[in-house]
Amino acid sequence: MNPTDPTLPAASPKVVIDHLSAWFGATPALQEISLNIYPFERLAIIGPAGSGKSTLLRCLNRLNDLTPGFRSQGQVFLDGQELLTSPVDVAQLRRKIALVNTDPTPLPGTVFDNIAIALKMAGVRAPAQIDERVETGLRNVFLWDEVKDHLHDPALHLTNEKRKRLSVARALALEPEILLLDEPCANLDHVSATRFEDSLEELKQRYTIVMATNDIKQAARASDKTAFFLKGELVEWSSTRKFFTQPDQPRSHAFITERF
Amino acid sequence: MGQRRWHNLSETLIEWVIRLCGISAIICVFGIFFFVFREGADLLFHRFDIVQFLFSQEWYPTSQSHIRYGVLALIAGTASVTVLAMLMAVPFGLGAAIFVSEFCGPKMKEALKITIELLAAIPSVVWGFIGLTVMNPLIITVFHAPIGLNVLNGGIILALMSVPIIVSIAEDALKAVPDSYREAGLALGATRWQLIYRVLLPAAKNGLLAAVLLGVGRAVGETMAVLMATGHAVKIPTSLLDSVRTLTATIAAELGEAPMHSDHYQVLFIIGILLFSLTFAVNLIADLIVKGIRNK
Repeated sequence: MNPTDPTLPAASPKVVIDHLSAWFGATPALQEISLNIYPFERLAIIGPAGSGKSTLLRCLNRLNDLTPGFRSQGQVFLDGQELLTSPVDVAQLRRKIALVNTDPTPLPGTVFDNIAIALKMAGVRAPAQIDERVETGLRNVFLWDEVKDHLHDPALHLTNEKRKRLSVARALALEPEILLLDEPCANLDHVSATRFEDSLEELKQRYTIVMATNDIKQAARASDKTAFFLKGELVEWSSTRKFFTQPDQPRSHAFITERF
Repeated sequence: MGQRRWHNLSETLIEWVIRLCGISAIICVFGIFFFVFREGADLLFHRFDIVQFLFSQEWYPTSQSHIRYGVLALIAGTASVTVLAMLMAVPFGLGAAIFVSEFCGPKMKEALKITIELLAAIPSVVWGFIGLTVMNPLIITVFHAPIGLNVLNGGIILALMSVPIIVSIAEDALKAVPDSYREAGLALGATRWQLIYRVLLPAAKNGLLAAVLLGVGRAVGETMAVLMATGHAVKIPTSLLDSVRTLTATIAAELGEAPMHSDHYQVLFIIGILLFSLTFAVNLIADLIVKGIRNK
């Protein structure tokens, strides 16, 4: 499927998803998805629950491999390299394409440890460099000022909202090329959500961001492009402005108007 | 109406039975402590030289002219076999638990778990028998030792006995780590080993510590197998091939021969108090460590 919006850039895509289908056991989760993700854009993937948004994100860094009964067909390319069928270093791939889950999971240990663990796993050893990157990571999500005096408290003591930002900071500390956010603002109040979206705007300068969200208002505010999924099928993919003002597909229109 | 009264009565009755079950553990522990303490109290409070008891190596409880109740060598015996057993059992046990929990497939896991449970069900006298008839000649042949009943033999037997406990408790602890931790770790690009080392072991450390300490408890408290496998010689060991005698083995071997309420009989109960205190200390330290970890 080609993008339906002529204003889409002609630059070479960062990720090419080519006729990707996926199943959990006998249940189809994605059907023939073709979609490009361009460098430094914010792509919002919207759709009701069960439409395949998370499955698509988890295909990109092969986290679905862990789910028993999962299989896929089709191809995904990152900078021209095929990811699903050719042998790739999965650990390295997951550092390049970092996923932040819906439920923020602080790892055992302190706030500092949470980011330091990620860095150490990526091979960063020098303590000074770890200190610096922990601070940068926390500043990226506006968490530094709030936790700088509690860096060595258990991360489990943080509120849900701070945990969420911590997991984003943890993913960003690895300096990924693409950041995948699954329901980034689920369970956040609107003040935190707005702050979070502001930080996405800033992060866009450095990362390609793909977020799956139920919140179409958020997609409208905080993305450059929108892909609308329904029951595992890609219904429409265009610039966010066009999608929310002049959607091509009647189903897109129905989805937006019902929700707005 | 009558049915309702019956219902209330049975409710109260069940509540009391359950309450009694809960309290019974405390009553039993205090009861055991009281009994052991009472049997040794007369000697302990009147004619007892605690310095000699703890720091002398001379254990001559039945001597006519030179009666000595020094348990230092027995403590050293218990400590040496326990430490050796743990040096072998802890890495093996934790390694096996990690393998069972994280690496093997469902069929293999089932087979291994059944085997490990079977290993835990072997009676200790059978282990002692193995020490006596299998390990003993083996150690004599391999190390050219005059006798194969020694620290090494006891340590290996105790290690084999502690491993199943360590494996099953540690495996439970690892299994209890939520899958979201595994996923979060893998999403950060962890390799399999990094996931275990950086995420799962820290997350499960309370349970793993409990596993190790239960193993220690098993090793300190084991009687029959060490009685048969360690050679029963009262001396502080200087090598792995020295025979030793443990606190538990001494009680088991001598209690039947000591005249009721004699000093010898009572000192064996004081050894019992010492063992009780040792295991209590191990548990207390474990508890404090676990609490410390939790608050960190």
